[in-house]
Amino acid sequence: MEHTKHLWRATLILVIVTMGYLLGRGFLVPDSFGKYGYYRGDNLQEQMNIRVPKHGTGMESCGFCHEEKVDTIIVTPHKVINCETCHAALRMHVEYDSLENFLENPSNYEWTAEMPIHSAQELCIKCHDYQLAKPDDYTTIVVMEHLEEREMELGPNVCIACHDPHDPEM
Amino acid sequence: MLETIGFVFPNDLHIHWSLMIVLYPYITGLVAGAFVVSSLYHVFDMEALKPVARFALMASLAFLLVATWPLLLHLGHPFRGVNVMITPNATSAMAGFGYFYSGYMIILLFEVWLVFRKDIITYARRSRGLKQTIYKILALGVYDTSEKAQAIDRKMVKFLAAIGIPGAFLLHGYVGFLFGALKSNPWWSTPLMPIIFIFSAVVSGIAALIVMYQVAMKLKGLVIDRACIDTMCGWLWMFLMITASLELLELVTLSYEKAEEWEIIGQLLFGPLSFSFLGLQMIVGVLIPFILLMIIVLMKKNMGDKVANTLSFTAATLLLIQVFAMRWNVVIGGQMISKSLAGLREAYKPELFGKEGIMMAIGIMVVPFVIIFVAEWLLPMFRYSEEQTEKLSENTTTYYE
Amino acid sequence: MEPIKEKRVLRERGIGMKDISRRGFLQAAMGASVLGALSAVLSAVVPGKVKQALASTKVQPEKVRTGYDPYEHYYSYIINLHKCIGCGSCVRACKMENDVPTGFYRTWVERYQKGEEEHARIDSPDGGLYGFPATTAGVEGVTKAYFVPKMCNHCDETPCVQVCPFGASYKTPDGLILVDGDRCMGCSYCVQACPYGSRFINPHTHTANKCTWCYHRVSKGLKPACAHACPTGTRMFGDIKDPYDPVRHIIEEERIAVLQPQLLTKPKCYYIGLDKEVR
Repeated sequence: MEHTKHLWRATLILVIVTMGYLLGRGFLVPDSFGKYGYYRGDNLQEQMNIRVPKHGTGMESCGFCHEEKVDTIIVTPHKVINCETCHAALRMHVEYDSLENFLENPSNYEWTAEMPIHSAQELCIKCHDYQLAKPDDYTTIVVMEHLEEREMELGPNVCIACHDPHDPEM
Repeated sequence: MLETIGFVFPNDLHIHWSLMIVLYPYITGLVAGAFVVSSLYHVFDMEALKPVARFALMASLAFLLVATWPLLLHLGHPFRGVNVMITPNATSAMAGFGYFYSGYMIILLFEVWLVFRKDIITYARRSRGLKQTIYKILALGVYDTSEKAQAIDRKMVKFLAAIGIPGAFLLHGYVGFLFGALKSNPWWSTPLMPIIFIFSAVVSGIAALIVMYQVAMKLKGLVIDRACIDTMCGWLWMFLMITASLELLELVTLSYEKAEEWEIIGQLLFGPLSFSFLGLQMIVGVLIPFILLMIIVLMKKNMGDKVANTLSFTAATLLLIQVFAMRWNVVIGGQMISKSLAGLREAYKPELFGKEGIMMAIGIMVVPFVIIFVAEWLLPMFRYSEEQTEKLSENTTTYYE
Repeated sequence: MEPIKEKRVLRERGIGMKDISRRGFLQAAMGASVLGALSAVLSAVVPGKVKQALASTKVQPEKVRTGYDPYEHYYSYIINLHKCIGCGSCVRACKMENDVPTGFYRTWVERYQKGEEEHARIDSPDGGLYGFPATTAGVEGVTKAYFVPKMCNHCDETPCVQVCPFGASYKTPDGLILVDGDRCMGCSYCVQACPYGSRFINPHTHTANKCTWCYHRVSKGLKPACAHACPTGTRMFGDIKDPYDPVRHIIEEERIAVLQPQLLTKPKCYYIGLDKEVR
């Protein structure tokens, strides 16, 4: 058609730009995209290694070195609590490069810091202070009454004055 | 600390979609609305809109050029945004942005180029230096201004203006769908959302053009075409009625059905959001402009030009505020409702400075006007109005009031 | 006019040397479509070939690390609301394990207290990080109260993956919903889409974050930190592809509920003892 040269020129520019986009896009799609689904497949592996687990496997991993504590607590009601729940995560105490290596050969690792011990009564009260919301079959006391009966003041370490956390029953 | 009423989920204390996300649909709304006005002339042959048709097209382009900026400023990693064009997720409305935006940009650039092509070639021949280089590049090396070429151009323009309407509606409507299809937020979740967005976009576009046209004519000392203003007011009034009906329908249905969500939405609209929703969006933004426009439209024949221009300017300004308030109430209001549906965040105050702050928003809104000034310097947009002004000045002593 | 000048005049008028007739137009159209098809094919083939050539020296990672195959597992989580004491150990363990930024929560505990008012009074002071104070002012005549731990439900039909613009958020073969922190652009669409308020934008990385069921532990056969820390057995994590798993047993045989079931997101966190007041 006559008089359409300008339209063809504009279309040509459009075609070049579109082809450039299509070509460029092919290079920018990540390699592992679509491997497992509509996402970058490599990330699955990355997420598995995103950090070294800070918590261990529970009493098992603490028991490698602290067998006597585990033996004490295992016959008390507190046996259901993981050591790391009251004390901090394992990695605060033993800095391992990987948890699997630690579990295989715990003796290869030395402790690198004091394990925080929450002797503050806060920790005991968080669980055992009475609230209606807590289940009926769970041991609770009304802390202020409990202390008043024994003429004691609320303060840090007041609970462990009488109770051993690893053998709490009187 | 952040104030809350009722129970708000701990992660809900933070508003993620900020002022920038309020601004983005506002800008694309202006793009779509201005384009519709231009298409009313180019496709539907409304001669009365000839004075603003070219200007509307250029205004649409000016706002389109800044439309991505609020998004880029908001994103945590703006450069990763290009991934929407590399591996878009077909189920995500947001993934449509790349294609809708570039598709509409292509249509609009093509149409603007064709509409101004004759002028480009004329100025390419007449000018010198830098300006001439610019014109020569824009002409793409073809200097055909024959009658046949112009006829072909007009046909192409008509075609582009026609397909540009759904293009513009997609560009703006997908944002409405983005909100409307989220089942997690009952204030957003409605099939009406894209429709409300589109109709209020047209309202904002026409209102913006009324304001900008009058300002431009005053600045250039040209006559404000009364027929043009009347036509725009008529369309504005109609679109306002539809928009208001849809927005009210949403509200009425929610309050009538009294499902779980009405408890919290009612608390929101009559509580923390009452000023911007009832005050700005409904009373100042709908009721008053509705009355003003009704007066202009119904009393067309008995009204002098100056009165009509003032009333329409006022109504249009109020409507620009209304549409902004509507975007605010949707975006920010929706985030004030906690996902628990049992609590509200009290208020969101955008920062003054900062990449998502008020100064940045003002800055972004100023840029399209700078673009329009540059466009006017390069390709004057009001030839028709100049001709009208000359014609009138030959017959009367004063040609504008 | 001289031939050369004539050519220039004709060219200026947009008439090329070869007059493009209708047949010419069809030829051009065919040429354009061939070009288009060619470019589409090239764009799919060329980058792949080039990348292969460049990558021949790189070590190709085969499957996932030996020992863990995500296709062999499918996880679920049980939360027994009859047992939760609101101690907050899970919240603290999660924060420590995953370096969760302050003010944001990958898991949290809520407390519901139902009295005479129409709705229960709900609170979650710091997400339960420091436990719950025994008394709350202004709650009269409470007859029913309980704690509800919450986290990402890792839904089977999740709206968050549906709305992610380019697949930065995804569902793994073993049922977890994860976020690719290297691709996420922080648009927050997923945060808005989650009906449970599980997601947030990390203020340091500016990407979406949420509970990952401690995938870095789960893929080694451990439990997530929260389940690991819970002292009362409220939280149970299990693999329903394992015929001996107690979690699978519970799902198959006990009465369980999910949060906001009407949204049909098909969460994989199942609650025992869920009350109608729970949001």
